[in-house]
Amino acid sequence: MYERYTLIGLTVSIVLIVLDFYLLRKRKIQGRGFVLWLIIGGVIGLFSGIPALFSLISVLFGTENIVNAIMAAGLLFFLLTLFYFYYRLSEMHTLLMKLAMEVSVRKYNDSRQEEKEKTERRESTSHEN
Amino acid sequence: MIPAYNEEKMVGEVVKSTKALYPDCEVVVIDDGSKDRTVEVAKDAGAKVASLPFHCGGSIAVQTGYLISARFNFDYTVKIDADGQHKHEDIRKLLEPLNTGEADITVGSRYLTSNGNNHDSSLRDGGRVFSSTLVSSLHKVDVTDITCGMRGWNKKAIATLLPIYMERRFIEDSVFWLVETILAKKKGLKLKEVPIEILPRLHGKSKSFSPGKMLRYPIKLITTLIEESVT
Repeated sequence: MYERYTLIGLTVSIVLIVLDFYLLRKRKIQGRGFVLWLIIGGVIGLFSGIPALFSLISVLFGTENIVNAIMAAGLLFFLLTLFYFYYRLSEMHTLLMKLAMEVSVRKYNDSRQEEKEKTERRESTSHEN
Repeated sequence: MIPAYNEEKMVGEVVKSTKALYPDCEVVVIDDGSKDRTVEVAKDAGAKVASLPFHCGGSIAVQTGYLISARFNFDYTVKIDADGQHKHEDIRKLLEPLNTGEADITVGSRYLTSNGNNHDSSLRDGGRVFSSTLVSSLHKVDVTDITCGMRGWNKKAIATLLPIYMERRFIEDSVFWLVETILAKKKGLKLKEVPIEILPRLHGKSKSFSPGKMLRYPIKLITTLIEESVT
């Protein structure tokens, strides 16, 4: 049973760490998020690779170690989903900021045009006079 | 460019004195979604205003300035604060090395003048010196005041930096100048520090510093340095 947990845990850990590095290199996530998910991936890998750590923690806290396969798989799936949501949010945030910048430049352009028209009108009026 | 957020008390004065000293320059106020009369005051003072639709943060306001500079083909771009802490006379100092081709980016430094420093607490000062020293030694750049927001760029610098910013994800305000310094070094842009004077803030409180932000800064600094070394 330990072997199966170990395999799933290590796979999730490797997937998280590889994705984390890949997305950082692609500038899709922030450094802060990168460190957070690197730690999460590392901890998952550590606990999966050394299952005795679970027993040690349960002894330290005085609790009984009763993790079943569904709960463990569910937790790991939840973490991966959370990571995906974090990445999507980060991406949406960047897109939103770019949109805000474009709106701002458009407004600036409008005010430039407005001033140009005003100057032209003023000049033509003074020519007529 | 003058990024401004809720600076109705000072922005008018800053725009007027800048325009008076540099009548041929275009003064652009980047309004970062202010809730007060910043936009009206800036327009009345004679600035052209680019308004962000909501509060996006200082780094986005600066990047908007880059975008405007690139799209409207400005030869040089200089950024000063809207709170009146930067001396307008120092703009000339920032422009000189850009004009002569000595630098692509100029950065003001309060630590290069005897009277430039400083109206800040020793904790802020220490943080500034620490991050400047750290980046200087890790990335081999010569900077003493890495967080200083009074800066100048030529066309080449804007053309090099803007595509990188547009491609990558959002950079947090507190580490924006730090990231830019590292990027400039990586891209081979010439960076030069010039001595400037920082004036005391007359109205309101600094938006860059709060106890929470100061506590988070070391973490951001470390994660930024990790990020920049990985990418």
